[in-house]
Amino acid sequence: MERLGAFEQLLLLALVRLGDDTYGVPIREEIEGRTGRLVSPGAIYTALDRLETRGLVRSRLGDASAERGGKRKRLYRLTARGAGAIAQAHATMAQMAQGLKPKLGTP
Amino acid sequence: VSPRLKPSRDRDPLRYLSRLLPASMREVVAGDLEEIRRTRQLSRLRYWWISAASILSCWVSRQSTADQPAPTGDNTMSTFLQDVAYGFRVLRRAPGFTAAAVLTLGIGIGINAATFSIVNILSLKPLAYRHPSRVAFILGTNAARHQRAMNLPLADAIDVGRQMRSFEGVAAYEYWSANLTGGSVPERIQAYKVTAETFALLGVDAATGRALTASDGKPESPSVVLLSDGLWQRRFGGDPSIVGRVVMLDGTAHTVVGVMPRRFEFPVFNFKGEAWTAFKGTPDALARRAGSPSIVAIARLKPEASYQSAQAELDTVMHRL
Repeated sequence: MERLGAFEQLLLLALVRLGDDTYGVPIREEIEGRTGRLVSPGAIYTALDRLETRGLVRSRLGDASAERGGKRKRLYRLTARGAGAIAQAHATMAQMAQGLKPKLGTP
Repeated sequence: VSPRLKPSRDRDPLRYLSRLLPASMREVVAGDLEEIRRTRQLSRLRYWWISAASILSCWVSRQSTADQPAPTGDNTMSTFLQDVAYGFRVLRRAPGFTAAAVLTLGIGIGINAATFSIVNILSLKPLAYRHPSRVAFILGTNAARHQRAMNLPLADAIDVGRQMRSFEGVAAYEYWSANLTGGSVPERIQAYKVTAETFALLGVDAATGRALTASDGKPESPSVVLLSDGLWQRRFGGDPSIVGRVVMLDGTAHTVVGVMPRRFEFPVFNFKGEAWTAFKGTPDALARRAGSPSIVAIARLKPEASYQSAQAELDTVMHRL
């Protein structure tokens, strides 16, 4: 079983939601918009880098564009292993949280 | 459409900072930052925050994976930053050692700075007096013990001044730790009582108002004080209308007559003077032996006098006294 940190889980969930070939800017907005947590591109790419070495995501360089000052994007997608890992993590969490909503006070 | 130069404010304020990103991450992270800046409405503060946080998290993450081989394209700067980050982490792990090291460094730097400022005053920086090399200290000598001392009685200094032909004049000063009151907070300042001719002898005039003059030493003259630039700035906020104001020194009213130039320092061996007042009394009264204050005397040699000839004359005069 893959061990995933809290931030890694957020990243993988963002990739699930955003679909293939997504990159830092939408990922950052996805996480910030849903969790209110301030995230920097640097933190995103270093974590994605780690996930890639573990085989949970795969990346390739995209095209350069003017709005990026002529710099290329790095486009990410989940691997089958990554999809399995986040599903597992989510299931574990859901299992543990089952029936706890009243006690946790969450809506 | 003719080509137009981009206004300079459209350029990334962090374009140089992005070089701090590790080479392997630079293009992608800097590209994201650039895109965010151009296409999203982000406050400047927020933009700076995510940029700085990006640089930081790239390096922190590299540190945690330092055992992996460094990616290609690494440069001196990144190696240096790694070392710095490593140094900080080691120091954080050993707070006792860090405290001792910081303390040692602090004391060392402090002592060096103090030594330098003394050496600077005494030998490197020319004194801001007229022909400073002609100004000499007169040291008292205890003949029985063959000891030299800075201090001698004021009466002796005045007699020396009257009798010496090699000297243009003799001046004397005495430390006076005065209590300055009248403002918001009472303050102990480093004042000096000086013979009224001191500033004429040094050949320095005030930057604002006037320096002390011979008439300030007359018994019937009002009590006046001359301020250093430092005290004037610190205590009176550089008030341009300071001249004529009355300040209290040890409970006695003194009228401010002037402020000395910033570079002016007097005396050079003792505490730096912040205010100067005049010894009051006729020359005869001051020359009276009984109760004569212990002072430090300085003299200005006449242009034709050499230190050797002046010393010889001084020996004779002192012998007579």
